[in-house]
Amino acid sequence: MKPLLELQEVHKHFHLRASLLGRWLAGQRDRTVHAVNGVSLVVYEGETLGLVGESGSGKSTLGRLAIRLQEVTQGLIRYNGLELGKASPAQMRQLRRELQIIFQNPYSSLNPRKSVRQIVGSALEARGVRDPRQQELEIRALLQRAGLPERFIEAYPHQLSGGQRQRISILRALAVRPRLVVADEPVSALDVSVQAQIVQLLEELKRDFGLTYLFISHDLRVVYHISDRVAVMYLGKIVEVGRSQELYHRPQHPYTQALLASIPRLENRYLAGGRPVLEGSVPSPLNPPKGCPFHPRCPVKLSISPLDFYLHSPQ
Amino acid sequence: MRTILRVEDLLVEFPTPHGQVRAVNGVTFQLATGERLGIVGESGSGKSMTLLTIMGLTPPPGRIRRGEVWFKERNLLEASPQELRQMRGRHIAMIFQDPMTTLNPVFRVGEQIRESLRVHQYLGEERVPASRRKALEKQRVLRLMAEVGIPAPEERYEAYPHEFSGGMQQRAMIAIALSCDPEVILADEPTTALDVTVQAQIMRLLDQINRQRGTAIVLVTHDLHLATEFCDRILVMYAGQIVEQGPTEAVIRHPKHPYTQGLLGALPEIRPEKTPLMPIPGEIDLAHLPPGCPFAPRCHRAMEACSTPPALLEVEENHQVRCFLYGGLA
Amino acid sequence: MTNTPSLPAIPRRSALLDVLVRLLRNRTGLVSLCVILVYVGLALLAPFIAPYDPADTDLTARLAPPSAAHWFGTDTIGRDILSRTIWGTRVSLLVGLLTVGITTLAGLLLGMFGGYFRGWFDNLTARLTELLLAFPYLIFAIGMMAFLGPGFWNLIWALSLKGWVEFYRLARGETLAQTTREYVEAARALGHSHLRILFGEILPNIFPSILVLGTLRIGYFMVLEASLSFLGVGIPPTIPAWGSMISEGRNVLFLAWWVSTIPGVALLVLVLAINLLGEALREVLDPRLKERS
Repeated sequence: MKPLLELQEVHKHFHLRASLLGRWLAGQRDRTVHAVNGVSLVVYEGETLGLVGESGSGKSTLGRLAIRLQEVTQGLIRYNGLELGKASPAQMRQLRRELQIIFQNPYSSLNPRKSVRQIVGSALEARGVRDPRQQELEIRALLQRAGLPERFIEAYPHQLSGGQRQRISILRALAVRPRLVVADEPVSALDVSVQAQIVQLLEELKRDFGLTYLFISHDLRVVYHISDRVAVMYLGKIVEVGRSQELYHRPQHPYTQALLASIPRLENRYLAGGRPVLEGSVPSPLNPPKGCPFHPRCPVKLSISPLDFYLHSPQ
Repeated sequence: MRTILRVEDLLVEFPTPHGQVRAVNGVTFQLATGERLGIVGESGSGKSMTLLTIMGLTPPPGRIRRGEVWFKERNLLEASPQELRQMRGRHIAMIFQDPMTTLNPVFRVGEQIRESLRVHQYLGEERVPASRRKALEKQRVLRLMAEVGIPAPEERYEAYPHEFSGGMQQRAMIAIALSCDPEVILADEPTTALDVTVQAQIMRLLDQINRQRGTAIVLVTHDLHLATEFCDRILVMYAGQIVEQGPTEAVIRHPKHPYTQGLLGALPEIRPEKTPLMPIPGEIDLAHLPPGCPFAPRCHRAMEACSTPPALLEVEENHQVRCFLYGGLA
Repeated sequence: MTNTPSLPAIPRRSALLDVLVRLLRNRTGLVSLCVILVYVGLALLAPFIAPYDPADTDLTARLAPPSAAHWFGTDTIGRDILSRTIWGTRVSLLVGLLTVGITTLAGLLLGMFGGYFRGWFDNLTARLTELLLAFPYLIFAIGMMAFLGPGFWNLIWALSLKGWVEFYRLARGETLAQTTREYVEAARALGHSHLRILFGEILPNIFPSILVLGTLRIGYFMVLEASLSFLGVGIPPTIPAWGSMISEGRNVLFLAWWVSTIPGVALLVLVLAINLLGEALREVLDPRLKERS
């Protein structure tokens, strides 16, 4: 398989400027959030790579870096052999069409003042389809493809349900015929029964259009279902990557083990009190621990140098 | 086991531009002392509204059209506002989904826990001199904080809510709920806003409270897995109605109602072989519910009879289903 | 696989027409709009409606009380109050509309660019607005008029130089809020240009609140103009304006109440109508209230 997207030692730091008043009254200082803290990862053409992690792990930031909606602080990202950070504005405009994103919140991801025709139409324009009749034909075809009635073409977002909006959001991304789609918690805001519809739609579209997904979610169950490989992120770092079945059934990293053990399962009747529970909470990304970010909470901490923390294949 | 809470034929309506919508539509159930009951449903199922109505907190413009809520020998719907205030927190306590919006950001966490003790004069304050009162109450608050797993309670007593993580805030909420030793805790999606590892911590805490204190817990959740792990009995709600209820084992292993079956099929499971998902088609449209079974428009086994409302029928011992597939046809 | 859910019928008319229709269904909106239209009619038709030339003096009928010849009486040099009040409508409306037009455009553009791009330009504008906000408006305008000298256009500039701040602050804040929404990110992911995102995506979302503020400010600027004219630093005395009329009548208030009162009432009713229209617009444009009407 051919690597479509490669991330090498990617960092993203956000600088929080202390206000003048805060500085003067409370002695506050500028601080740096290490949202992504040295991530190397490969997404292969045609696969679905699941990216899981808890809040504050930096997974959403990583998704935005991957398609250059945000700029990396350090490190490089290569798409299809081309370094994204060095792409010219003209090249980038071309690339934008190949790199798309679907968001979590179906309420704020669609412009409330635009009709479905305008929303999907603006994506078609980005692809160079300007003729209104051609646009109309394509939008109707896309609506049908997403299981929505064609008359929705005139609808505004507030007239649609959460699931319907999410379908429109997917159509907009699809209308430019992308190759890589970053799906950032695409089903987390939806009801269980609707969730399954959207997951199924995403799977069908991937098959039909030969897409590659970077599927970001905190829902470990959905990620298992949809992903070929899964990467586990904790506090800005990837702690484990592997084929999904292997990773879920033979997790190696203590954090992955703890995370998977926390998932409620139908098989675990009355386990609520009996399961191993990971204590404490995630440290602040303002000052992440050196080495393995998990070591302050780790039940099997080893006494090795923090510098020796890197991804390797377990023997 | 005694019944401690009994809800009879509860009906709550909301006016909307499309007419009256029945958010809770004839809900009947019992809760025994020390029991763990799960109410499972999607958004709009009426599960949270049922809880709020039990607490006498039906949000306006909602109206209780009929029904009874019995706590022991008292119908709460007939109680005076004063009586209800006495009841809330003292005998029935509630935990909400989002602790950040439930805790008041401008008061110290410890004081907020103490407030509940003060309001209910739980320590028999009228007999304690004012000078000793605060010390006594604070002592109990510190014990409560330790019990719910807030580390270093002495220091945390003085902290403000924003200095707590989400999990710690929820623990503080649980401490408030526990402050007067209630017989029943109503938990409305208590872990939905939390990460999965924190959810496990909170569920373990609720488990301990139930085992050690014998507090009955009603867990309202959209997460069938979570309810399965925690609850003795599960009610499945759809569009304001209970469509299935029974012991957890029976409901999960042998679901009867097509909606329960559909939910189980729509949930991805982590098993060595991945199985395709079976989504339930369509979405619930509360503004245009059919006259009969509300699930019929999405049901693959819908038949002619479903255009009339089915009744909740007992199919096995303690296992009830609202569906014509199991009889009840005229 | 999806059963077709109900979709409310969508009226197929333009957004602007839609707002107008809903405004007319709103009682406050209808009444205030009618009042304003009457004023606009008076202003446009002033030469045909006004019984006398506003500058004509009749020294035989100085401070004449209301009569059949002079409905609202005459002033100290015998000019017809009714005619001058009708002509005064022109100045007030023109000052209100021009100032609002200039300040809206300037504040909107600066605010949108500042809120969207941030950076040094935004910082600079923010400091400038803080500086301007430190002046009371009237003092600022008087100072500007003293600096610029009298004249209609100078008055417009004096008012506009500070007036854009409100629009800037509103536009900047709203743009900032919209920029964090995911539909903006989606537009960037599609490769749309910043200008297209600003004007095609964000502007339609912040325009309603700008429109409401703009309406309310028309009345505000009219009052400011009248105040300046009252103080003698506004509209040149050759042009009939309500502010200077009120000022002229001040000395004879107990002898001839009509000289000040008539233009005062004219101003009061117009500003009230404009403010009510602003409130009605706010109601009509609020998406939370939209579904009900």
